[in-house]
Amino acid sequence: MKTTFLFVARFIAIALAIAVLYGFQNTLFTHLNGYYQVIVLNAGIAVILAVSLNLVNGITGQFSLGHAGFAAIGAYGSAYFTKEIGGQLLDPLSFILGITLGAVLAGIAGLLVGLPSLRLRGDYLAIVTLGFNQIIISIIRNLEVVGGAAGYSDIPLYTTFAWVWGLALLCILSIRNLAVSELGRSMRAIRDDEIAAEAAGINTTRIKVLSFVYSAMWAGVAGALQVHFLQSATPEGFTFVQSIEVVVSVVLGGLGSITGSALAGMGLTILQEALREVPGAFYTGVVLVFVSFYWNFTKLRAEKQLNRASLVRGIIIPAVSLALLLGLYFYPSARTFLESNKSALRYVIYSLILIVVMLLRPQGLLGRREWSFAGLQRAFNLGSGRDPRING
Amino acid sequence: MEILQQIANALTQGAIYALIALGYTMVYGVLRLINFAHGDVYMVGAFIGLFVSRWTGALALSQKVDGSVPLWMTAIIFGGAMLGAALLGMLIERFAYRPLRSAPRLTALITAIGVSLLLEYGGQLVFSPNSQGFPALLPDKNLVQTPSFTLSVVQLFIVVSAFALMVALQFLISKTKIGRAMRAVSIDRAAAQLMGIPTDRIIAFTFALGSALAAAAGVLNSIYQPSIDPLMGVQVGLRAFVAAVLGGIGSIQGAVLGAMLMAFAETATVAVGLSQLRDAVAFSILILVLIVRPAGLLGRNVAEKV
Repeated sequence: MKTTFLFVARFIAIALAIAVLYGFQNTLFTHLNGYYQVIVLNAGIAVILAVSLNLVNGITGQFSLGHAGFAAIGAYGSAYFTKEIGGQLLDPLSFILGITLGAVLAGIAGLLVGLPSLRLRGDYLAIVTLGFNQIIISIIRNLEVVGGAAGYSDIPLYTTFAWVWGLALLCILSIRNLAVSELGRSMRAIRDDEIAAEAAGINTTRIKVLSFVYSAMWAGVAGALQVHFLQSATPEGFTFVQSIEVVVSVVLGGLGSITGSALAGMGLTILQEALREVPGAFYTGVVLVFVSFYWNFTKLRAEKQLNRASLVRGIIIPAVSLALLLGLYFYPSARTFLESNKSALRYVIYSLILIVVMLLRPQGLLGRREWSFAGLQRAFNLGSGRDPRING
Repeated sequence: MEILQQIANALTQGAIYALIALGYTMVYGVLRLINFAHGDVYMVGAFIGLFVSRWTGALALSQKVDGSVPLWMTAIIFGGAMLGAALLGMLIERFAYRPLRSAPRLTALITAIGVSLLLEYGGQLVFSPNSQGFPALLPDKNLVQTPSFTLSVVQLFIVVSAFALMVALQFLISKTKIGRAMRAVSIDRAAAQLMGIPTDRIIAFTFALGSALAAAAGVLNSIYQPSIDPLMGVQVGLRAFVAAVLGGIGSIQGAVLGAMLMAFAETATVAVGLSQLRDAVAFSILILVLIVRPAGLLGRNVAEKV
C-alpha cells in the first residue's frame, strides 16, 4: 500500500517537474536576453559536472582530476553523431541518441581509465586522471574528422532550458538515490577507510570503478548538452583547467554534500560572470571581506580568547582589504588601470575567494550537510540538517 | 651528428625541469602536498631576475651593441631572484598552507590552486600580461660549432650550474643537520616533533629551498629563451611536476631522473615531428610507469597499515 502510494506520488512529482520546466522555458526563459540564457544553461551544466564528480571525489573518496576529459568525449561523440548521422532522424530522437551515445562513450572511457588506475591511491590517481584528460585532448586536437585543433563547428542547436535543467534534476536525484543505497553505503565505507571496507567484504575495486564510470557518464551528458547550444567545440574547452574548476566547486560546496556541489556549481558559474566587469568584481570583493569577517567573528567567539594574532586576522586584515578595495575602486587612475586589466582582475578575485573560503571554512560551505525537508524543519529548531544516510 | 644536438638540447631542458621538479618533490616529501603554485614561483623568480637586472643596469648594458654583462651582475641577479623567491615561498607556506596543516588534504590542494591563480593573474596586474624581453646575461657565443652540432655557452652554463645546485642540495640533505631534520620530518612529522625538531621551521626552510631552486631555473630558462610572461610557469610547472611523479615523488634522485626522462621524451617526440602529441606522449609514459611501479621509478612503495 505504502509503496504504491510512493510510486504514484513519485510519478506525479516527475510529471509536475517536467510541466514546470516546460512552463519556465516558455515563459520566463524566453524573455531573458541571450547572454543571461547562456548563463542559466551553463549553470545547469556546471551542476551536472559538480554533482557527478562529487560521487567520485566526495562520496567514494577517490581523487579524480580529469572530469573535463570525459565531458570532452561526451561532447565530441554526441556532436559527431548529431551532425554527421542524426540529421536524417527526427529532431528529438537525434538528440536523445546523441546524448546517450555521448554518455556511453564517456562511460567506456571511464572504465578504460578506471580499471588500471584505481589501484593507485590519492595523489597518484589524481595525476593519472589528469594525464588521461590531457591525452584525450591531445588526441582530439589531432583528429581531423572532428575539426582538430581548430575546433568542431556547425553542430546543430538542440539544447534547451528544459533539457539542461531536466537532466540536472535527474542527475541530482539519481546520484542522491545511489548515495543512500547499499552501493552508496559501500562507497562511503571506502571513503572512510578503504582497508576496513575491504576487510568487511566490500569488493572495493568494483565499487570504485562503478562510481567512476557512472560519474564519467554524467560528465559525458554535460558535455553533450554544452556543445548542442554553443554549437561548436574546441579542445581548449575541456583541458585540466576545466577539470580543476569542477574540483573547486565540489570542494567549495563541501566534499560529499550533493546540495553543496549543486549550489557551488551554480554559484561559481554566476560568480565567473559577475567578475567580468570591474563593479561586479568590486562588490564581490566587498562581500568577501564581510563574509570572512563574519566567519572569523564566529570562530573567535567560539574560541573565547583574544590575542594579537586573532586581532590581526579578525579586524586588521579585513579593514585593510576593505580600504584597499575602496581606494582602488574610487581612485580614478586606479579605476582606469583596473578597467584595462579586467580579465586579470577577474581571476585575482576568484583566487582570493578560493583561498579565503578554504582557510576559513576548510570543510567547504556546507560541510557534509544536505538540504532536505526534514532538515528545513530542524533548521527552525536548530538541528544539524545532516542526512545520516548520505553523511552518517 | 643530428642526434648529438638533440641530446644537448634535451640535457639543457632536463636540467631546468629538474630544478623545478626538486621543489615539488621536497615539498611533497615534508607536507604530502602537491604545491600547485610552484610553477608560478618559477615565473616570479624570472621576473625578479628581470627587475634586478634593470636595477643593476644589466638590462641596459645587454642592449648595447657590444656590451656584455659582467659576471658580478649575473651573480647578483641570480642571488636576488633566488632570495626573493625563497621569501615568497616562505610567505605562501606561512599564510596559505600552515593554517591548513590539520585540514583535509584536498582543502590544502584547492588553496594551492588558489595561490597559483593569484600569482598568475596578480602577476598580470603587476607585470602586465604581455611578454617581456630578458637580458642576455651570458655572451651569445658557441663553444662548439660544426655544421650539424652547436653547443652554446648558455647551454653549458645551464647544465653545469643546475648540476652544481643539485650536488649542493644533495650535500645539504644528506650531510648537514638541517638536512637530517628535513629527512626526519618527511618520514614522520609527529615523531620528528617529539624528538625536538622544530617542524614548522623545517617546513618553511624546505619551501625556501625549493622556491630558490625554482627561481634559479626561472632565470636560467629566461637566459636560454629570453621572453617571459606571467603565465610561463603553467606548462613548465606541469611538466616538472609530472617529472617528479615519474621519478617517484618525495625522492630527490627520482626528480632528476624523471626530469631527464621527460626532457628526452619531449625532444624525441618533437624530433620525430609529432610536437602536437608532446603532452600525450609525456603523460602516456607517466601512466605506463605508474601502472607498473605505483610509487614512481625511485619512490618507495610503502605498504598501507591499518
